[in-house]
Amino acid sequence: MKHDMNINEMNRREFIKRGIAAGLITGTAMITGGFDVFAADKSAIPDLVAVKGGEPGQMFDKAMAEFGGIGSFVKKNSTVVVKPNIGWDVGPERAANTHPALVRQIVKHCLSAGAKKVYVFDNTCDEWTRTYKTSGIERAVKDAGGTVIPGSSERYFHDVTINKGKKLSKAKVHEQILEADVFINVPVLKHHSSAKLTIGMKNHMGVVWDRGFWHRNDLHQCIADFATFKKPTLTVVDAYNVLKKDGPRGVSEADVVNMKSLIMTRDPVAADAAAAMLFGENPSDIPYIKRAAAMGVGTMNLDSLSIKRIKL
Amino acid sequence: MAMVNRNLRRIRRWISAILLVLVALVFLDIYGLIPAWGLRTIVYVQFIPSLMKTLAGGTSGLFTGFVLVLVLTVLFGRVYCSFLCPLGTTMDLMIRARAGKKRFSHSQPFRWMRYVVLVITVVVFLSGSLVFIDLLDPYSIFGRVMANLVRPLIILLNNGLSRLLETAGFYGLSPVAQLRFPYYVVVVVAGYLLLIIWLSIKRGRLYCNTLCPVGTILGIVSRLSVFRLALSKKTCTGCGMCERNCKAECIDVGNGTIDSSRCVGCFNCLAVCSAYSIGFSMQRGIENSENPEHDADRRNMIRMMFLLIAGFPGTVMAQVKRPLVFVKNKIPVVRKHPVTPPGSISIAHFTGACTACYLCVTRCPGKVIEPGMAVYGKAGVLMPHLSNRQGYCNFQCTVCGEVCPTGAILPLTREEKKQAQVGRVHFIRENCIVITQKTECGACSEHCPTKAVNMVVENGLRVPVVNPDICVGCGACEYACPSLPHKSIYVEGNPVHGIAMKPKTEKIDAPAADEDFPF
Repeated sequence: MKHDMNINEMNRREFIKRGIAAGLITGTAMITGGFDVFAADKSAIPDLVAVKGGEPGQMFDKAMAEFGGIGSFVKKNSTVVVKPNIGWDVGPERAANTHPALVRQIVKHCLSAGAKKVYVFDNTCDEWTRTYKTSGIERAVKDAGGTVIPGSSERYFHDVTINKGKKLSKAKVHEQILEADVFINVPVLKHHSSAKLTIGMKNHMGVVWDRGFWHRNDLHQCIADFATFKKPTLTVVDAYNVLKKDGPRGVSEADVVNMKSLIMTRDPVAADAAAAMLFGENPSDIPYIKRAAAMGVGTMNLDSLSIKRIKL
Repeated sequence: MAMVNRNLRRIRRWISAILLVLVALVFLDIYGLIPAWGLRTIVYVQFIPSLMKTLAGGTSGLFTGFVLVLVLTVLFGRVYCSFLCPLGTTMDLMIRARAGKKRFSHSQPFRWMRYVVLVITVVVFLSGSLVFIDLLDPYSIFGRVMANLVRPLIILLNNGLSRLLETAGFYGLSPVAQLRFPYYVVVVVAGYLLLIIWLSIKRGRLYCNTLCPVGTILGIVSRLSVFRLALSKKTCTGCGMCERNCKAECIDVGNGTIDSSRCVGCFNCLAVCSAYSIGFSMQRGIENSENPEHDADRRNMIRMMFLLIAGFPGTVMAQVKRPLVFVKNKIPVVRKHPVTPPGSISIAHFTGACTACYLCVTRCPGKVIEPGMAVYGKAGVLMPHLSNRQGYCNFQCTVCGEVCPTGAILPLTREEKKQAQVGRVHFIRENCIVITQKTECGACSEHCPTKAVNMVVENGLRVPVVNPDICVGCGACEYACPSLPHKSIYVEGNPVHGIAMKPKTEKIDAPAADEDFPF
């Protein structure tokens, strides 16, 4: 920029430039209808969308369209953190981690909405460089233009107070969960030997540092307590391949069934309740879902929600 | 008669410097970028590891590193010590860096001590303990210094840099977790380093010519060398430059002799002799022939050997400790046997070959291989074992066997690894959180790769139930167990590794594709 340019002029030019760019993006979006911002009438946006019968990326596209496109969640120049489950050093066929194709599609959507940065991480169980790689998620995120960041060192986690917590009053939470404008939780639905099922709220255990404390101090209550502290902008449950037993790690591919399903909602309790039913469990049999609902995090009464069901 | 090549010193400096950097990188590669075959190639010529590997049955044929070194020695003397030994090159750097211009002068060898140390090492080894090999092998000392002292500094530097970049919003450089070494191991290793620095500054390569078993073995072999350095009395002006530059203190200008058993083949003398009076000669034993002093020494050595064989092992054995146990209150975890890495076959096999170089320690992604002091009692010192303090053995991983240069850990295929049972799970019900606090936990079962720890409902709560037959002993359960102060679940080492049974798998029927949503 030239030195003699005065400030007003610069602002005006900048304003015009941005205006044109915005117009172009909107126009393109309207023509292509891809991530269409104006397709759905605001009043018709459902509380929860359930899709089945498609591929992970395709099901995400369909569900997101029902919510009015990714633009309803991700503003231009915002920072997004996507939290899949990358806990285990096993491949996608074992369904112990979130499906990489779903993660790739989410990152793509966020960037198309003009997100400045899309970060993806997990505080893994197996050694992190291995799980990032073997899960296929590192590759998928890089391909889509996102950034994988570590959750492997205590220095990324900062002290927070959980005011409504009954058992969990303090935790150390990953800096991007605290800083990012948008938090998209992308759990994989699976059997879990200690929590019965792991879905969205259980996936939050990968954004804190000291999980041992949770295990020592009433696991289910701690999961519910943390849900009162941090509500994701959006929960996308991956139920494409579902680990039906021997979870959360699984022993072999025989533990996995191909359910080709996906659930998307802003309500973390409803996400877990719907996914639990998909799995064949009654949500009220899962203590952390019941307790989180009782603490007012969300609703497990799916009848009270407007649900859009899509079969592909 | 004599062949003189003044470039030999330069060639030696280059080769030794390159090798030093490469071997150092083996231990300092904090991101694990060097593949296993690269590591194997770099440490191929290290004498003791290669010898151990051959004795442990880890190599086939005679084309192993130590045989190559023996051939080189028969040809040119102890060039291993100046060209290939990373500890030797480290000492050379100390010698170069030392303050002032103090030079060396010829000294009498500590022949007696040399052979005593070698004999003790060999006898103790033959009686089943690697204590002295662990303590004295130069490659392993170098490895320990790198792994215990230098690597943590590199990691510190990396993590500082990583943090700096992250404050600028760049996540490109990831932090690497520090391994927490037992402090007494660090103290011992640091003590060694100080000793080596002090010895080399004071007396050059005295360590190599008194304590180092490789130096002594190659010194004996070098008596047979085809080509050896010799002083030509005809042309020597007696200026003494060679003697003053000889860090092995093996040149005696006054008598015109070079003690080839102590000569480390650095070729400094060739480079500094202005009269070209030192060169390779094919004449045998100039310096030793008709040396009555030496003959007497040899007789003494043989006498000592008998004495040692008769009496020494008992003395050594009497001083050693029992294996480490983990003792504390409530119901402490007490292991009868330490756990050795997968591929090490048995405690006996492992302790029969491990020189405690800690290469496996630095490469293990699970941070489960931990240095110890006397974990195996009389069988050796400083040898590592599997400890679940900082991590557990990754189910898929086969790195330690791929990189071990001594054959203490033999390579396994991934499928073999998944059934290699290094230990068996033990559950202490009375310590378990589900029992003591009556809440769900299950961290052990979550981490188990075979579901050898499963959760079974009991009074409405899920309680761990173990099936040791399908357990591989990876220790993921023990690592994850959050109960305090003692673990509720742990791995008891298998003195001889077993084969875990494969977990039963049952295919689950997929739901019908057109099934309705359940809500």
